[in-house]
Amino acid sequence: MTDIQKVNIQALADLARLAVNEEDMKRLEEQIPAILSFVARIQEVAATAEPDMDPAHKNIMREDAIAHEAGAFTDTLLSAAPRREGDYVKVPQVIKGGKHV
Amino acid sequence: MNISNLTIAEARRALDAKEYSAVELAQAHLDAIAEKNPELNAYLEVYDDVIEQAHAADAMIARGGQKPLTGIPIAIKDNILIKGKRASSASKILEGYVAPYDATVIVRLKEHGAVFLGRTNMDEFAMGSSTENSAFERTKHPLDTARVPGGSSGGSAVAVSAGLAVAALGSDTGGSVRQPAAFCGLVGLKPTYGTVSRFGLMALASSLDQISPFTRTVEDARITFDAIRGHDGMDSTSLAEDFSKRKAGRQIQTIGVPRAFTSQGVDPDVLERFEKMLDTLKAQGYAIRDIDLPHCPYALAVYYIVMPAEASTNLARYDGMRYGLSVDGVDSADIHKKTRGEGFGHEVRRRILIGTFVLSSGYSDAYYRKATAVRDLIKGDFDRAFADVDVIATPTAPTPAFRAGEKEDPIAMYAADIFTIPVNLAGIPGISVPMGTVQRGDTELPLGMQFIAPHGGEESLFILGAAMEKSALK
Repeated sequence: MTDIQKVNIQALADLARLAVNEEDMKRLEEQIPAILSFVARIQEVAATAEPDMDPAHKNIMREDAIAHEAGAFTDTLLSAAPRREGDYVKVPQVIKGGKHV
Repeated sequence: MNISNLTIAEARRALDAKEYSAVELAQAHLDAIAEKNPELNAYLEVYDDVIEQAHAADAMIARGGQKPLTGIPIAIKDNILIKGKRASSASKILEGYVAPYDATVIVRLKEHGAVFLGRTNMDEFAMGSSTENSAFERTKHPLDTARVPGGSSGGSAVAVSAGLAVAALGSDTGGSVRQPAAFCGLVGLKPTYGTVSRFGLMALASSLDQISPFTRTVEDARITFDAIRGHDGMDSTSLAEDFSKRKAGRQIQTIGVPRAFTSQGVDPDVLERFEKMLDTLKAQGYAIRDIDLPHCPYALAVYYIVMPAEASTNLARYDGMRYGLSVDGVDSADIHKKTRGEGFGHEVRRRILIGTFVLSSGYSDAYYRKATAVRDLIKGDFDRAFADVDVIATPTAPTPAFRAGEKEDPIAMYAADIFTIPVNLAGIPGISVPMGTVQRGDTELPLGMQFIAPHGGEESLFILGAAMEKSALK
């Protein structure tokens, strides 16, 4: 069993890339452990249960073939981007010299 | 023209008989929306090309090329994409987003010449059971505006219930169509997982989501289901075409009732009405048998592990870089965090955090993996039950429509879906059919009975649903 009292909400928020303000943090620090202790009742079910790793219903991928001519959707999709430069989505520099962010 | 109780079947007859045109039918709905939507908030947007669509439908009819849904005014949940139209999942993070393509269900409805009236309100990213979690204000119950219509597809439910559409599409991940159908006195069908393409439906929990219709009758549910189902190569979990040639409804003789499960936490008058309806089915010749679904009491806990796990993964795509809201920051990680922090509402953030926890190293075995195993046990419960009975019956929801603001505790809200969730976990079909009303204050609030069939057993649901419709009228 997990000691859910010790859940570090800030660490989860960082993992999930989610900014949480102080007021929300207080609320979440009460709600998240309560929800986790509610769902932890599945531990009561016989511990031998193992998931079926070979289910009958599987993902079926499409043929890896060319579905449409190159560029057919480029403009439509790029026009949804908040920042654009030519045929690229523009984003801030991800890797910086020295320290990684 | 009286549109408040108009069925697809009746509209089809009248349109084909030229008693009125698709344009007149669409205009009547636009008038009703203009009158009632400001109060109810069922629609987030009414499209500006409705009459144009209706003209195209009239042309199809004039040519004699009509299909079952030609000219039928339909409302679409705000998480289903229509090319060139806005779609937001009732979230600020997608405000202003325009769909670049049609969902497969929309392609099929366009082939029918259906008329899309507008996009309907919902709980943000379909997370909720009351349509209170919308970023664009709650939707109100048409019979008592202090109450909720259920959710998450509450806008679609109210559109049909209040006479603002003849039918509607929603999405059902844990009960998001069946529960609001019950609250609003409609028929709501959650098809077998894989029968209706999820392509173009914004993903909540991919192993559970299924696009589902709201209609006024069981016959209309069948018509809509037939229009949207079928194999689609764009959905990797779409079932093969031969499966969609529905198993002919086997003779339904026995209805199983999991009384140990359904007697917990249910309003006494809901249970009384449920038993009364079972009696009328018995009088029609069906055998009623007690069954045991021993792992179903764990379904809610399993669901609130599996669903947030899948949701937190699916929602990772909202990064402030490619589409939707983007909040400025000092670097890409900062943009990412701030966009998500500002764009997502409370319930969405809660579920992302829960999902992140149950998938995190050190906890995923005890939570996600264990939940997946218990989910298999729940499927096994249904397999065993269906060896003895043809269909299973439960109340759709433990209560009638509740008051807005009543369920501030998230876990109390989650319990609204206790009877619908096991059906999604097992991937089997379920339908909610009106089963009369209970009185709350001065209002007679609708209730729903849920029928559950084995994998691919929609036909059984239609047969029993029709039998139920006759009984509930009495």
